Amino acid sequence: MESNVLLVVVMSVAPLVAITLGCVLPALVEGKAVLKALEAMARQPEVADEIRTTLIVSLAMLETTAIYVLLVCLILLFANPLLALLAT
Amino acid sequence: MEGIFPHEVFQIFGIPIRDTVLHTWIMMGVFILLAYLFNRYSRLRPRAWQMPFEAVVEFAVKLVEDMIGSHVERHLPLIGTLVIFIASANLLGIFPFLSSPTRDINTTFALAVAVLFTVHYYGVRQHGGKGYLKHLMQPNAVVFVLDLIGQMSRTLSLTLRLFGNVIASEMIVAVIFVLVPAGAAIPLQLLGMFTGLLQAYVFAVLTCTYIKSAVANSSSNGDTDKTQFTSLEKE
Repeated sequence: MESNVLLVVVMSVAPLVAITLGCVLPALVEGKAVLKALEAMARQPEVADEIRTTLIVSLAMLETTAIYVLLVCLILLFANPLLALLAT
Repeated sequence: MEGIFPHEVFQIFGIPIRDTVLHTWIMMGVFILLAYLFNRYSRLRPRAWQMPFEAVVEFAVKLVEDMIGSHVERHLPLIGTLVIFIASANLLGIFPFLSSPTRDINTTFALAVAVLFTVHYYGVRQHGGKGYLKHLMQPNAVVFVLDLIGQMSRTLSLTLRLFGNVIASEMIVAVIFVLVPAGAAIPLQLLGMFTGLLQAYVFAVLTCTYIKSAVANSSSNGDTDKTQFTSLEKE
């Protein structure tokens, strides 16, 4: 009984920690990318369209890492394969 | 929370049909009808109702022109279909009794696999079978092996990016709706719509870059016939 409680606590806390780290780090890096792109756009407005397209594509790439974390968290919360161990 | 994940509605000859597939069919029916009506009633001098349709087509044409640059007519069907399908699939969830087909991972995986094969089709069509193989092994054969891994991961990332974004926005709306029923979910719903449109754009742009790398001229004759579609526009 005691170990079950511990397991539930760990399984609740682990996705929280994961999603926190997985949101903060990509957000910082994306902010850096946007900052640089804005600086470049301000300096050279004539290539702004080109920079914007590249920025969106690279932001999507960076965003993917956060999405991976989110998917792992969803699996942990809703479709956890380890819970089968608990039932036996 | 259970309503977010796709569930089985009925079976056809033992094949289970999920609600996302059903909603995809409804969407396809509406689009086929719209395309038929547009072809039948569109005029060279457009009336007001014709403008939104032309705006969508012009958006796709501009995207292909900017990102690929060559053979716009050849690449337009794939990119245009992706933009229209994904954007409307992401926005389908705002209608009552309907839900986004893209919140099922099978839908997005099907789209990504279609992109994977079509990119190689365009590459073979541009370079010829042998030439495309040579194009893939550009500096040496080791690159080809690395490229295979790259193909896998790009398909996986296309799948998971679209799926993750859609399911995340739907889930946030559902959670807020459970906590605060009256109106609080509307701004998040708007954010979800914006994300859906942006993801459609991103999917199309990424497909364009993949096609561009597949059809790029590795040898010196780098002439692009950008005039091909503009001449068609003048008619």
